[in-house]
Amino acid sequence: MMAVENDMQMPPFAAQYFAWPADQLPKDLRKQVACLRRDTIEKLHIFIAMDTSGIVAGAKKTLEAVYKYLNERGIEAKVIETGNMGISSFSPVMEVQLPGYSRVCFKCVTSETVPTILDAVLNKEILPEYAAGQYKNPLHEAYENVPFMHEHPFFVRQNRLILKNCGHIDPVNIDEYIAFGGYTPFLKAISNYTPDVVCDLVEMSGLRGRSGSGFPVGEKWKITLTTAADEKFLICNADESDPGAFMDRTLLEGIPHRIIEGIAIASYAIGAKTAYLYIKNEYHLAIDRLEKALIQADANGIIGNNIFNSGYSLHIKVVKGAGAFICGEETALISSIEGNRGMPRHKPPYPSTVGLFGKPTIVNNAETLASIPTIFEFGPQWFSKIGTQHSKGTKIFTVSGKVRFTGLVEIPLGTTFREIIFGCCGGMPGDKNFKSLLIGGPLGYCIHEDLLDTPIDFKTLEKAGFTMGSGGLVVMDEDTCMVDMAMYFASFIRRESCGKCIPCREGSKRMYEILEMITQKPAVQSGHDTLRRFKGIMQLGRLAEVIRDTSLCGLGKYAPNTVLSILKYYHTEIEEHIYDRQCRANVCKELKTFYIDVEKCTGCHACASKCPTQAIIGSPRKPHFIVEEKCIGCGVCYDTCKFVAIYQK
Amino acid sequence: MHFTIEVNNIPIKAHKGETILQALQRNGIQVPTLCYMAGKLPTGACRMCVVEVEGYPGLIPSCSHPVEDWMKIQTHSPRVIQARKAVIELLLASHPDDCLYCVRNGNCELQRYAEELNIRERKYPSRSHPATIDKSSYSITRDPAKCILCGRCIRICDEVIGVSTLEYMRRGNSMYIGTTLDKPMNISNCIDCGQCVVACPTGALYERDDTDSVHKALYDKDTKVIALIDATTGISVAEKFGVKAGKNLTNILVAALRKIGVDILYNYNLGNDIYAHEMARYLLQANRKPVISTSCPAWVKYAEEYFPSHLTYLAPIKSPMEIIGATIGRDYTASGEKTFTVAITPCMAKKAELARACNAINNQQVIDAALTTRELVRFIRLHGIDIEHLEPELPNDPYSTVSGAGLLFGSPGGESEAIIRSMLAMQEKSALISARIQKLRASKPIKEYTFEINDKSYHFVAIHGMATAGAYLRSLPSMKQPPDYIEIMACPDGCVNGGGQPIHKNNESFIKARTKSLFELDEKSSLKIPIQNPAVKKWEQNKPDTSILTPVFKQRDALL
Repeated sequence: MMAVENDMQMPPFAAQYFAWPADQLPKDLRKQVACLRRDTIEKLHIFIAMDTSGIVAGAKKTLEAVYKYLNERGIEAKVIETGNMGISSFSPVMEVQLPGYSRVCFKCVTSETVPTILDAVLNKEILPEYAAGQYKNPLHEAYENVPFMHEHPFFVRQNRLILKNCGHIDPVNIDEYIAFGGYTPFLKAISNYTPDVVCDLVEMSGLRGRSGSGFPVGEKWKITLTTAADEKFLICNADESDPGAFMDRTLLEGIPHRIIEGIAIASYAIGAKTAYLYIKNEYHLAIDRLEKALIQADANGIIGNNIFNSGYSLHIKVVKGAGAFICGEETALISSIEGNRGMPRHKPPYPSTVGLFGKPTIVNNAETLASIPTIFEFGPQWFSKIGTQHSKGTKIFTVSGKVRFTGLVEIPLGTTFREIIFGCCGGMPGDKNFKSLLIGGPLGYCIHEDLLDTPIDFKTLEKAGFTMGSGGLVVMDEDTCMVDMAMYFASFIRRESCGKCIPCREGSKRMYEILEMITQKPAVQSGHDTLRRFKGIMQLGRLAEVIRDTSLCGLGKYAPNTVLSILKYYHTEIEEHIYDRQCRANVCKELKTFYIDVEKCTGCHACASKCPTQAIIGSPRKPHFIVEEKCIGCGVCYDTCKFVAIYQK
Repeated sequence: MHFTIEVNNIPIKAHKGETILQALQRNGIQVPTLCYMAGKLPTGACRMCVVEVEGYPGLIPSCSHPVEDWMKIQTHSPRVIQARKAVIELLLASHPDDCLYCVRNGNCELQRYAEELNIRERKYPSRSHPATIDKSSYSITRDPAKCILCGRCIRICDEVIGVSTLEYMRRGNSMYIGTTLDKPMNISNCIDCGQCVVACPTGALYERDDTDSVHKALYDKDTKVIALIDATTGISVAEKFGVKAGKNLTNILVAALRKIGVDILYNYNLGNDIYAHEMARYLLQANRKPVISTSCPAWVKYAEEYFPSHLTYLAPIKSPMEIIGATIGRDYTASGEKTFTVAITPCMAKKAELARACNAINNQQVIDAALTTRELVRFIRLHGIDIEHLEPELPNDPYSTVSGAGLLFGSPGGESEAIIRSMLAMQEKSALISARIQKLRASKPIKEYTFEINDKSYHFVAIHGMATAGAYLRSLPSMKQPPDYIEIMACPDGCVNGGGQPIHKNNESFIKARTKSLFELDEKSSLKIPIQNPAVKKWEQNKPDTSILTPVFKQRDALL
């Protein structure tokens, strides 16, 4: 908390604890703040994680069950809908806090298990089969034999600075956000520092963009601040379209006020009076909570005209995207806000000098902006102690795929991938082996196990030949076919390319066709085809290089990365597809062939009559035979055979 | 500020603020381009102009990257050529293998670059997207299968013509160029100017070919074929017949057409003379301002779509083609002979203009076909005429002569100059006529000229480029004194750059040559004022009814 000039007007409630150190707050306010922070509560509190992954897992039913339980028993309790607490695979998550006792997190809570769990909790008993852990608080009595959440392997390595309070507070209650110290960094910034000093402090902290490009944030802000113009804009890019990335969504659903605060500090730093928040239309819940949060922020004078009597005004507008991946690229995003087709523009000139409506514009990723309040809460020197020499601070990684714990991992930069996958996320479930890690979505890289010990640092990764992208990690095991993955990425680029430049628009189509050729069986097998497939792969490499070298925007430049990385690290698997016509993960259907075991076949002809390509021949009551050239690998015969006489290779 | 950069290991001079491409072009280094349009902002879409710059990881588009003084550039290194080849190979893979059947065979940019880059292999199995040809419009035919999505047609229709008929639809592989709501061109807001055809690098856009109807009429014993050749066409065909661009071949074309079998050749430009004469008379007694020209049919269609309230400002005088058409039509309706009249001009919009109801006499079109310069060249070649060995011939009387003023119409500002000469002559002020009004001959988008007759001041404005004209008209209400006459030419640089003119990739030099040629013809002509033209005098004596000389304009519904 810091001292504030006396003549700055603030809304009444905020005024007092912004101005006073916590222990000097007037007594009645101290009690209110303690209640908002859940340090001391009067009645039972139940928190349901109502974020998108929770709702998909059934959290709405859980919530209904909780209300039903409370109404039936006439129990007075406070039910709060929160964001994602971090571990998505625990969804639906219910957290329960009794007055005087620590808050307990329960995992996979369905409407059936709600009564069981709550009955036990009201008896001060925590059922171990449902409990994920309890949150340590010196003011609360801890339960026995319940592990602490901060000691959970998922959380132990994390440093949740950006995700502070995500999943723990009501997203659309500004008082809770302020009670935890929110908006104080913003007030510090606009009352103590001029915009150029704010830029300097951010530059000093070493923060680099979290969207993938990693450009130093303070440096970019300075360019816009020093470009002369009558109007400047800040755009928050929440058009998160990377499959596998959901940190922006989580932040907007869980702690939308933090994004607003980041936008406010950034806008002040560059001299912008209008900020735009470009958000994906498909993020209905996030948009809903964000709009509510904006209304609250405006009503409390945190945004709007003459904020805290400082003379600075800021208006934030929400613009919804319409489902194009390309609109996440900054110049296409700007084009989209202007009302034009979302097609990228050539750079230079860069948006920091000529951007939205021709004015200097900063486009920052939502996660980058959410990192800003930390710098002003603890100072840039403190911030720069976290991470490595070239990469300061923490980064959120969203982990999904074949791991035990999926969700959001916020680690200090410098941590290795292995520590995230096998440390935080618990490694592979079951006994399947790790095969590949997709970093950075469809514009990222598929890396091999050997590279898992690379520390996540901008410089180190650059040397190793890849980037961290937006931070979406998808873990793949031996049941994934890498050629199939390459085809998926090629088809993704095909669908999402804007069509402006020829290499990306036409090249993506041809890349897909070459990969398709490898996974398909030609009508007639001949030596020619193998040569054609081999030539295709060589061409694929060259084509991918041309697309990377020649494309207009980031999508084209980085789109071939996934395909090229698969070509590089998984060459043997590709060769197996080309020469041996085998798919070791058993995914490429057309390459599967079925055989009939002559010992087991009774000649009942059931499979032959079902075969869609009439590939099975044989006389009645004599063992049948599958013609390999005609077999398309659909597996109908395999399913039909009652004698388990058909096997596949 | 100048500095030196290194291109292909040779130092060249560059200016601060220009792009790499501009620096290269100024120093005579050619780099292929597809989406680049001279004089307009670059889009960087086609990636053909990429060059290798030391220190940059990827290849840089020279059209859009500013030149910096430490740059070391390679314009034709193996890496660059591989990239350009890949771009063309990718385009060819989506292009129908139709060269021998295509109207642009021999004059297509895709063909040109495929040859220049020495592409000898089909790298990708050709799979072009099927598309239906849109033949609905009177003037422009669209074949989306041949479209390479360079965007030049979109930009010219949007930025220069201001009508924005065409736009990119959908995205990625399924991107195509279409009209609003994918309507056929004839019910879109297209004004038929044909600038998109001139802009198109391939055969995706081309004119509706009307030579078949002319050919048929030529071989019909009972029909008399009358042809009208515009001098602007006459000075635009030279390079197509191996002669220096700009040379006047009008009378050779007369001879050629006679050889082909045309019965009567009249001088189209007489229509210009009569138009200028009538307009001068109208302006001298007009009591409202402004009076707006009606000579450009694309402008008239634009006015009907976007400025219906201004239709009352359009002069009640038909366009030159329709004036001479009505005259010929009246002559031959009286004589009862069956005729087929074809006008040969640089204009595409005339194909739609001739079908307007007000241009018919007794429900018969006075002009039966409008051929463009390009169609004429093809028609002459079809008949195997050897242009080199023809002697020039004169058109038939009574409509054979034209004054220098009538020849100026092809260049923007020329029509105004012609009218001014007529006005001065009519008021006995011929002595004040200047040989050339420089203000109306400058190459500016909006040209203005004020002059006085008997203490009355007249303010003329000549605008070319429909977008510029539209903006000017929208600013009219805020003007204290609107001008007396506004000449509007929809095509940028006027009829010399009409939608029907021969297509060249960089046509600035051709436009200059053609304009110069028209001015020279005016200078050499002994008749300077329309009224001095004996054909005009005769026309005055035997003037057609006002009913067939007065146009009718109606508001049109335009889709966005």
